Parts: sequence; C-alpha cells; structure tokens
Amino acid sequence: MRVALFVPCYVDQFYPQVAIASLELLEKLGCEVVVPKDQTCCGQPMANSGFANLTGGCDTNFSQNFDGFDYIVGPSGSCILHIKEHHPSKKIRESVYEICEFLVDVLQVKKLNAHFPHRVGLHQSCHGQRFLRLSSMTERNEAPFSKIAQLLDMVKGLDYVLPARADECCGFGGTFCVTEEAVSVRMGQDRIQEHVANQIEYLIGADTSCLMHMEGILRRQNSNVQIKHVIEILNHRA
Amino acid sequence: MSTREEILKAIQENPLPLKSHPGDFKSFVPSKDTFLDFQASLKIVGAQFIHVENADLAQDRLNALYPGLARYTSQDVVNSGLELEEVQVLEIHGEFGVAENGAIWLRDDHLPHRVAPFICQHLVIYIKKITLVGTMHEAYDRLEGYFADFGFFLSGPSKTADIEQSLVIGAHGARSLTVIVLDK
Amino acid sequence: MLNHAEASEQFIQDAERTTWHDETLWFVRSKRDKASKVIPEWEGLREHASQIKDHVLANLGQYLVEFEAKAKANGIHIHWAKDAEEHNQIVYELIAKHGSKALVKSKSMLTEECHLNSFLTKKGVEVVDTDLGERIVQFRDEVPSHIVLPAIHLKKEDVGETFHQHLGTPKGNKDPQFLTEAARQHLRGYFLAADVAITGVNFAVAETGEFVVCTNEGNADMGAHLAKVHIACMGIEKLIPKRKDLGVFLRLLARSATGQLITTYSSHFAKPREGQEMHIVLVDNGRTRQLARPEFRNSLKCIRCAACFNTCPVYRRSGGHSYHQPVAGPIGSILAPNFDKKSNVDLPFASTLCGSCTNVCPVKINIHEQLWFWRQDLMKDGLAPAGKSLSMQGMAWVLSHPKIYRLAGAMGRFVVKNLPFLVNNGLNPWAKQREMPEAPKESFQSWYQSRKS
Repeated sequence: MRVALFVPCYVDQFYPQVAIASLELLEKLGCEVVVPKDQTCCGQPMANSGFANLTGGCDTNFSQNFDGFDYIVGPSGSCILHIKEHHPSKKIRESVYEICEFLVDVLQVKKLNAHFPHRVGLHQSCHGQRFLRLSSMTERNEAPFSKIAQLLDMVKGLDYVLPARADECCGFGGTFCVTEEAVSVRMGQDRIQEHVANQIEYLIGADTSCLMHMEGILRRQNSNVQIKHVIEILNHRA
Repeated sequence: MSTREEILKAIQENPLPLKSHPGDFKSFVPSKDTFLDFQASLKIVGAQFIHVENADLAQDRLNALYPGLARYTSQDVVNSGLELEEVQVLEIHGEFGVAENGAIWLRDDHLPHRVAPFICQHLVIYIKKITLVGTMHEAYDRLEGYFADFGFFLSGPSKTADIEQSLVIGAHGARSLTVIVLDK
Repeated sequence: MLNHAEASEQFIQDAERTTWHDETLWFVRSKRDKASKVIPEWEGLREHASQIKDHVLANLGQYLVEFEAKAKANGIHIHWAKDAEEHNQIVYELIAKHGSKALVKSKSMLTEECHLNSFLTKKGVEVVDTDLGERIVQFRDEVPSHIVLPAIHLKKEDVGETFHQHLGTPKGNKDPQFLTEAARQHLRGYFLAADVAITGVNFAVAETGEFVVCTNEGNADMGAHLAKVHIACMGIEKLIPKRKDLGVFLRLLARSATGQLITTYSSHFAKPREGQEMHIVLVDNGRTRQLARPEFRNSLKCIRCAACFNTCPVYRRSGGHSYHQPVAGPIGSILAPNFDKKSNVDLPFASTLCGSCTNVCPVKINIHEQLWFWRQDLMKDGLAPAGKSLSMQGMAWVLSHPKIYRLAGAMGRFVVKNLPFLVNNGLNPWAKQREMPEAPKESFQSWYQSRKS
C-alpha cells in the first residue's frame, strides 16, 4: 500500500521523533511510504485565526505535494481535520487520514510488536476525538469506543489511564494559547493535575500540539513526567 | 409600515431552504410500570408519596404529615387569589401523572383559583393510578384536542439551587408536596 | 471595557476561586450527563428537536402570524417590537396606562438583552426581580453571569453579605436554606401587592396561541396569577409549531440545563384570568438579521438551557462577566457579534473550538462551527487587532514557500537553542507560564533526506 506521510509543520521542526515513529511504523506494517519533500503546513493556524482567505498558498502547496495519493496519513487529528473540512480538492479531502484512524480502519491492524512497560496518562485531543471520531465522547449518550485504546491494548506492558474528566480540552487551541494565555495555561494546569494524580510516568496523546502545550507547563513545574505521541508508543520495542 | 409588517417583511425577504416538520416523536422507550416509575420520580423531585385505595384512607397519614395545620379542601372558585393567602395546606385533585418525571397535570377550572397551588404553604394532590402515563409524549397525546385557559405540569415542591448550587426545597411556591395515588 | 482575554486574566488571578467556579459548573454538567444517560433515545430526541426548530425557522413568518391569530382569539393582546427601545417603550406604556408604580418580574433573558430594568428604573418604575438568583444580582447592582443560574459566580458568603445589607439577615449567616427563606418572605409581599407581572416565554405554541413558562421557584406564577396585567416578553424565535412538540422540548430542557427531570412548574398560559389583561410582546431586536445570515441562523434555535455554558472549559474558568454582554458562554459568543461586531470581536476567539458545546446542545446548534465562521467574518470586516493581519499574511507567505519555511524553521530552532533569552521573556506570551519546546538537532525533513542518501 502506497502512503504519503504528511508531517505537521511543528512536528517537522520541533518533534521530528513523532514523524520518524510514524514513518517506521507504517513501513513495519508493510506500507510503501513516500515523504513529499516540499510540504509545509496545512494552513490551520491562519484559518482558525479568521484568515482562511490566506490559506490559498498552503492549499496549493499541499496539492502540489500530495496530489495523486489515495492515502495521505499524518500524526495529527487537528491538522487532518482541517484538511478534511477545508481543502479545495475533493480527492484530497477524501484521502487524508489521521494515523491511528488509518491503522484501525484501513490497515486493520490487529497485532503490534510493541513493548512499553510504563504507566501513562492518555489525553484525548478534541478535534481527533469529537470530529474525526477517534473515540466516543462523554457528552453523548453513545456506546463507548476508542480506536486509540484499541491500538494501545496491543502494546505489551502498557498501563494507560484516563484523567477524571476523560475528555476536557487541554487549552492549546492554536493561537488561543497566546491570545488567551491565562485561560489556556489554567486549562493545561488543570488537565495535568488530573493526570499527575494518576501517578503517570508519561503523558500521551495523538496530537503533538496538545502535548507541546502541556509539556511546556510540566517542565515549568519541574515535573518528571514526559510526553510521547501515541505513535511513538505503538512503534516502541523493548 | 407598522413594526409587524416590517418584521414579517424582513423574514420574507430572506427565505430559508425548506425543512419539513419531523412529525411525532415515536422512538421513546415506554415505561414498563408507570406506578413504580412514578413513585421513583416523586422521590427524586422531593415529593412525599402515599398510596391508598381511596381518599378517606389517606386522612390519618395527612394528619400525621401536617399536624395542627388547617387543610383547605374546598373546590369553590374564589374571585381573588389573595383570599387564599393564609392557606396552610391545600388539597386538590390532579388530572393525570407522568411517570418519567413525577409531573402532574393541573388545570385552572379544577382549582379554586390559578394561584392556589402556588400561594399555599403545603400542597397535597390526589391522583388516580389509572391516569398515569409513561412519558411527556404520552402526556401530550392525552392533552390532544383539549384546551385549558391555564394548565400546568407540577413536579415536586418549589425549589431553588441559586445559592452556590445548594438545593433548597421551598422557594416561592409550595414548600412541600404530598402526592396521594388512589386505586379508585 | 475589558475584552474577554483581559477580563479572564483578572478572573484567574484568584486561583482558588477559579477552581471553585470551574468545579461548581462542571458539577452541573455532570448532572446533565447523568440525566441524559437515563434516556436511551436521548440522541434521537436531540435530532428531533433540532429538526423541529429548523422547520420553525424556515417558516417563521407563517408561524408568527398563526400564533398571533390564535392568541388574539383567546383574548391576549399582541405587540410587535422591532428593537430593544421599542420593546421597552411598549412595556412602559402598558405599565403607565395602569398607573402602576411597582411590578414583579420573573426571569427573562430577553428583558436583560433589552436592558428593560434600567429603562424602567429611569422612568420611576420599581422593578422587583423575583427569581432568587436575579434578585441577588439586582441587590448587588450586577448583571447575571449565567442565563439559568444568574448568581453562580457568587459564594454563599457573598449572598449572605448582600442579604444582610438589603434584608437585614444576621451578619455572617450564609446558610442557603435560611437565606432562601428570607427571600421568600421578602418577595411574598411584592407578589401580593403587584398589579403588573412581567414574565419571559420559554415556548410559544403556534397551533394554539398558548405560551409556556418554566420555573422551579414558582415566582412567574405567583406574579402572573395575582397581577391585573401580565406582560410576557419573547424573542420571535421562541415559537414551536404544535403543542405536541412540547413533549420533546420539555424532556430536553431541564435535563440539559440542570440535570433535573423537569422544572417544578411548566405553566401553559392560554387565556387571561377573568378581569385580567394578558399581553405578549414579540421582539425582533436583530433576530431577522441573524435569520438572514446562512452560517449563523441556526443560533436562533437556542432554548436558553445553558448546557453549553456548563460544559465550556473556557467559560468555567473565566466567568460570565468576562463576556461583557447579557448572554455569555458559547451561545452568547455566536449571538453577540450580530448585535455589534466591533465590541464583540473578541468573543468568537474565546474558544479552543473543542466542540463540547455543540455536543451537549439539545437542539444541535453547530456552535463550534459558527465560532469559526464568525472569526472569518470579523477579520474580513477589518476588525483584527493591530498587527494581526500583517503577521497572518507573513505567516501565510512563509508557509506557502517550502524553502522559506525550512529556513524559518531552522532559524526558529537556532534561536530557541542558542538565544533563549530572545524568546523566554515578557514579550512572548507562551513563555510566561510555559517552557518553550526544546529544539531538536534537525528537522524531520532534514533527517529524512539524509536517511535517503
């Protein structure tokens, strides 16, 4: 299966290990992975700030890099959601997948050769959860399900827990994190407090933006808790 | 142009795409036992529950619940609500009950005055077991084609949680509610 | 006037109080969750209610005319008001006609929207708010911070102090039971004496011309059934087609608002009492303008339950007053720009677009999407704060040019790694309470290109 890897801009620049893990895991699972060289950004930072009219350049660049692929896979729920909802090309909108969604729905992974014997707190990022439906949400009266949990269950030795408020937002919210800094940080601190109460070693999730924001707070608090993207856990061997 | 015409014109000028009414809501889960469900709901909403065969058999219980308080049972219509200002315990009859939320339908032509169930200190309502329905959908089915000048669903005593979310029973309406479910 | 970000920053400074406010409202959200889980058909009910409201908005003119005809045939006087001023004037004239100097008012967000209280007060009419939460804020000369729980921003101690000042309750007494009893006694006198009662309207039924008022306290009824004149104020969007539709809405409303099975009283007013005058004021005040906006008309489906407030992580940590207008929270943020874009430009941005609100809304308003659409609309109108437009254009340019993007990325990493003082200072809001991410030694693309070769 031929797959194009979409690398979110901040992952490319600050968390390359997430993209490396994504690439390695997809290859382990038998995919031929192509990484378009000139990809930049999905355009969400401008669009969510009210400047969707400025994303033409990003959209064009995305098309130039990803046209012709049936599967465009990226390790970020919110970026994938943005492309799915706003990219002008129908084919691209229908071909993008968040990586956990891809593993469960397309590759139908049932077994992983992964080992991560640690206690971790699972953060459910909003856009992936509520809009890409990676897992059920507490707001709705629906049978519980979680594509992420399904995958984590395949990791040997892993002990993952949800915080008391299973799906409250961490407060990153894109430019919100600086334009409403006080609320953003307070939300992040509250989320972290609930995770830390579960005595976790790692805080994990499927969106590095959320993790980056919470990591910033954790390190300011001199905490020992480290962040990891779900895909890094799924790709981890002893 | 009058305001009425202005508003209607403004609405007309921007027609919306057609959306039809979805009809009656049919997929509700009916109650398996309206009596038990009603009883459970009454407890949740803070009402006292008494079950007797007929009204006479409830009197001793009521004497025990409201010792020394005068009970107003007259069905005569009063002209001014103020006449009922001093009523301690009002006894009235309800039309039917709703199991899912303990609500009772009351109508003004079966009350001494519209304000009666609100102005009294304590309220007692008799309801016949056979009149119980499961949900609000069935309640409105029952009200189909029927018109009251004023009617209302009453569920439990008056209450408020406006002070730091602490539930207080007894706001402006009746401080307590006793529902007497009659077999006959 | 402080914008939302500034007001929230102040609110959050009291960390303990913020925790208390957040937990109190989360508690209401959890009660709502419990109540909704008991009804297996809950999601079906939401969908049904949403479709009924969609249908009403698509046929609003027709239903208004039908409602007016039926209500009039039952002896109710109907008035139409195009804006807040006209509404206030109509209400005042009805009061003045009766020579009334005092009136009682139960909760009506519409009257808050129209600033009725201050208008009447200036005209020498004493308005007594009878909803306990509203009376408390009225004493304190504040506005409600929540559309269902007006005084939720106040602690028992605050209420105790207010009642001590205004009602003479013992100083230091903060027992809710005691304070509520004091309010009962205090307001009872007003109910008995008032000749005019003003209420809101939760639902107006076109089929029968009746309207429904829902309360837990019984204050709307204590006022309306004793007064010579009952004035009900409603936004034109409060219509529903058939009485049967009430079955759907009354199952959803209280459960969504507070987790209760139903409000204590759901009063159906069809005809005035003998000798009483009943009036309904139908108010536009920007609703037809919102109706004409395709992206935003769904906001008119709102039944004012405040479930969106209780679930919003931002509202819970910033409080209703941070939204600087009568209806706060998520729904307020999509209604307010319709009134005044300039003064409400901050509100659609007071959100992370988490989508929780959309999913608790009993009538399925796509709140998070409308927040996004308002952002586009407001920025297009040139209301961006100084510098934002330029920096966005700059960002768009960098991100559309791969080589420049790579260069910018490398520069960013260089600065973070080697010149941290450039970013870890007061000018960088990120760094106020968070560490910057660590700079890796190379970008992913750079690693990948070396791996390939």
